[in-house]
Amino acid sequence: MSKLAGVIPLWRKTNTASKKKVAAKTTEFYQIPRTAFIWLLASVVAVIMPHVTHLPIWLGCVCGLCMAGRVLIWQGRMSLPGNRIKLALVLVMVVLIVVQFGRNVFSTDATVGVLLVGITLKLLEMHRPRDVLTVLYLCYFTLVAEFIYSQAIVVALYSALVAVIITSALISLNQSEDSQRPWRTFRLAGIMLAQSVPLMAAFFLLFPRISPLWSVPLQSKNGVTGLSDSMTPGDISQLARSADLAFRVKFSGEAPAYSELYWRALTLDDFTGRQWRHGLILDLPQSLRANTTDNRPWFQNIEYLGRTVDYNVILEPTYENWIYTLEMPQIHDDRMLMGRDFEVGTIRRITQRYTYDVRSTLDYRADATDDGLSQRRARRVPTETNKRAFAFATELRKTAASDEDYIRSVLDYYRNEKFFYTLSPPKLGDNPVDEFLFDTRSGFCEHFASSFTFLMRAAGIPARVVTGYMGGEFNPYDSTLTVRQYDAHAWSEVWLPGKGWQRVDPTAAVAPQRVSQGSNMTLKQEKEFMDEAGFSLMRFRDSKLLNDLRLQLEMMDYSWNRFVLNYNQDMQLQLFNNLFGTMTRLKMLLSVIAFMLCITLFVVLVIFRKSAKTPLPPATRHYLNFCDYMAGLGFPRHTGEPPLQYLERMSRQHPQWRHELEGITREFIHLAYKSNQPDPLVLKSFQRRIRRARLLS
Amino acid sequence: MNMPMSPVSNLQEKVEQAVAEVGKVVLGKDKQIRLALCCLFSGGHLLMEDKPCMGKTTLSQALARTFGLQYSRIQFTSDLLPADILGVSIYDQNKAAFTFHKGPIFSNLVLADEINRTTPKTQSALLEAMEEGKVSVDGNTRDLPHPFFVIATQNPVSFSGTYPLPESQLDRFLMRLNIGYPDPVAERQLLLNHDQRANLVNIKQTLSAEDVSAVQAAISTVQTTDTLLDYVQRLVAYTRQDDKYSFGLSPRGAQALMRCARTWALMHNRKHVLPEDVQTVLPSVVDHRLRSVADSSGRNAEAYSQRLLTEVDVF
Repeated sequence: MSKLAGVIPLWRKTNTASKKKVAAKTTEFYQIPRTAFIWLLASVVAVIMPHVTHLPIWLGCVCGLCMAGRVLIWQGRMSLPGNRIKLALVLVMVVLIVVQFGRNVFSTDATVGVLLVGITLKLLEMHRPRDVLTVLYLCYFTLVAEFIYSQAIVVALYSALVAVIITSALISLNQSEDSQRPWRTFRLAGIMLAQSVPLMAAFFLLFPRISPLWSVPLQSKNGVTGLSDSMTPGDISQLARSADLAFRVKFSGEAPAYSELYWRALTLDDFTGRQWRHGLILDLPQSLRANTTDNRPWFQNIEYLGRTVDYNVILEPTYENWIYTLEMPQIHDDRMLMGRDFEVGTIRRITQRYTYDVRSTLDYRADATDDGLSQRRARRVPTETNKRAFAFATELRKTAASDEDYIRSVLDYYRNEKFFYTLSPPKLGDNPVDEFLFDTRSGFCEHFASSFTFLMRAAGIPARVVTGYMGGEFNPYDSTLTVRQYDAHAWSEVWLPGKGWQRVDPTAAVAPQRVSQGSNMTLKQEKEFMDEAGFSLMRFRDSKLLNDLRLQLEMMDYSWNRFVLNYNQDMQLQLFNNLFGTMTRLKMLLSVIAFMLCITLFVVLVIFRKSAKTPLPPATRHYLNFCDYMAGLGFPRHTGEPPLQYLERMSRQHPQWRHELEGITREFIHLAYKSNQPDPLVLKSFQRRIRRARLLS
Repeated sequence: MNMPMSPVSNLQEKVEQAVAEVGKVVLGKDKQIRLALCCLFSGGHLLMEDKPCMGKTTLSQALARTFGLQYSRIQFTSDLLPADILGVSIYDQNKAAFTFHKGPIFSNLVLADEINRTTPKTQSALLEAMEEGKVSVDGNTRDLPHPFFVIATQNPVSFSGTYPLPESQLDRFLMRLNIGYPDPVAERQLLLNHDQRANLVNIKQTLSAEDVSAVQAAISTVQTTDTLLDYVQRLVAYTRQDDKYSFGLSPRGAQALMRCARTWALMHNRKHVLPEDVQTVLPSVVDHRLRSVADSSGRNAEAYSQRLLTEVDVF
């Protein structure tokens, strides 16, 4: 065997001697230094880890296999794959990715998948240090890609750690072979990155914030709770509840009572018999500008009564236009419009975290007089379906004395008959209102709101469904209210002459705790409620300690959202105003650019100065200042000219200066050449003397 | 501490007298005389290189006289043998034993005239003695007297009949001096006097071997500050980095430069070195230790050091 092993390379050598290029390619083998190899693998693993959840399993397996292959190659048990194998691997990966993602091949997930496959395949093709560098730079890039999915504090902290790991790999690649201690390299990388933190902070605060040129289409609308612009109660038999954050609210004064927290978003006033939809917008929306002059009558006629509540909302991206407010909102913001049904929406879709300030007046009167149009819209009812419910309504209306009376008796009907609040109601057929009211009698807010509104319309009372969120969770640590997707709710509004639109929540009649304590309390018994939350801390809300911990974490998260993620152009401008007084946006931008340019110029000058010198001793510095001054007078000191010789030359030309010049030169010689530690007092007087000499001219 | 320093305190005066005495014979060459004195005070050997008949030998003789040292002169020729310099053992019939007859090298001051006219073998016999201060003949090592100086003269390497000294041996001379043509005033004086060398006997001894020891003891007390050492290091670094030089200054060369600069400062009654001191001694100390790229054989005695003075700044 050993004989054979000895023979083969010999034969190869003689054979390839004529083709020098080939020989060089096959014989040179680049071995990654041990420390660098450890950190390289750690970097790749660390970068892949956070993506494991949203990528197909086979991709993880491919990554694992590639890394195992890399280890075997490093140990010398395997050789680097040839070109054919590499080509085959690439083709297989391309096919797999196309098959996996199909039509979504240009989605973010697919792109991240391609990146990860690229990184791991590159591990099998490392002939030069350059290849290792490629992988490491890709790691940095992919690390940032994680932020597309989540921007939580945990992810940021994890990314910082991974950045240190990748930097360690980068450092160890350039370290000598004898530095065999990975931890030492890690510490060095940590120190280096820690040193760059002030610069990072400065850039974060000062670098001009430009809104992104594009946004990544991420929203994958699955059938989870949350709001859409239509509602079909009969179709849903299993409502998955998601604990995802919808928005956070911070009240500037005292928060209103829990049962008042109706976060209104959309009105659904077009009913097809099965589905409630957002109807046509018949009147132009009212833009919410301060001092606007084109106020429409319906906007003008809103009467604000009683207590106002001021609050700030940070809304998670919804990829929709509408926003959530308590009733009746007053917003002075150029970015928003108010629709005819008093819904507030943004002009652009909310693709990033969005913050706004609102003042709401909980008692109000709007549309008190019939303007005909919106009331007519709110009375329309399809008569070909839900005939039983229609008959029931007409019958009930006849017995009731007034509209208010009728509303009360309908609510009593919900309360007295055996209606049941559940998240897994049976599916409904072609007459969903009929079936719900008289047969199944179990459902959630949508069923109640839908049937109630139908009953109102059937009796000729204008009514509409309103969707939004109800309640939220109050965090005592920073007094913020967290509203999650499972707080989504639907209720009704009825129009009464002279009173305008009034909110009626039929769910409250069936499950009063839903509107007094929130959906969690209502649904505690239903085990499927938290299925989506998995291992999240939300499971442990019954334990006092863990709940406190969770609330603390959420407070941190709120600050993170509020001050880091939400740090935008406006906040930057505000910071500048606080620091430097009032500034226009342009002025701020220009000053920041000027500041950055100055720093860059300074660095460039320092680097490109003829030669880097160690700092000069103070005496020499003063003397050189003096020389510069003399040069300004037309007597530059020549390169290499020692002080006494310089003195001689100048005195010969200007004998009247001799005394002063000689004094300075002698003193300098005394300071610079007699001792290494000159007397500070003498030094000071020398500096003064030079300054005086300069004033003399 | 005070004992060796007392003769140093009036060193400047003594040097002035010596320069005046030597100047009687070597006209208009004060600077060269001072540098030669500096070299001898530093305890180094001196190499004088110039065209024939420029006064090299006269200067060396005058220096010997002003120091009052016992001196011998060896005229180097192509057939000179090491034994002619070091000495030879001769069989004494009376004692029936070999007795060693000391050669001319056993004196305080040796004038090695035209050192490059002899063969390398003989040259190295002298140069070994210069380096070690000892002579080994017939298996016995004999100490040379103290102080021991060699003042060698040589013709420019390009002249015929020369064996150039290799760099390693040139390095053993602390300084190399070029005398140069006399200036017109000195030349006129030279032409007026009918025999300049006759004045040699009139030169009075103004210095002594004790002065030399005193200066050498005082050298270490001369202050050299960081500002100065930075300058010297920049000079040395420049010879090593600049591509005009085929090799840079050796650490021994740098040491020699500092030693001479210190002596120069002492000779001017200063206890600290100034950049002027370094610049004054620099050409004589450095020139024979450097070689320009253009001159690959090293046969030209150009002044390479001038570049150093104008290119390297003092601060």
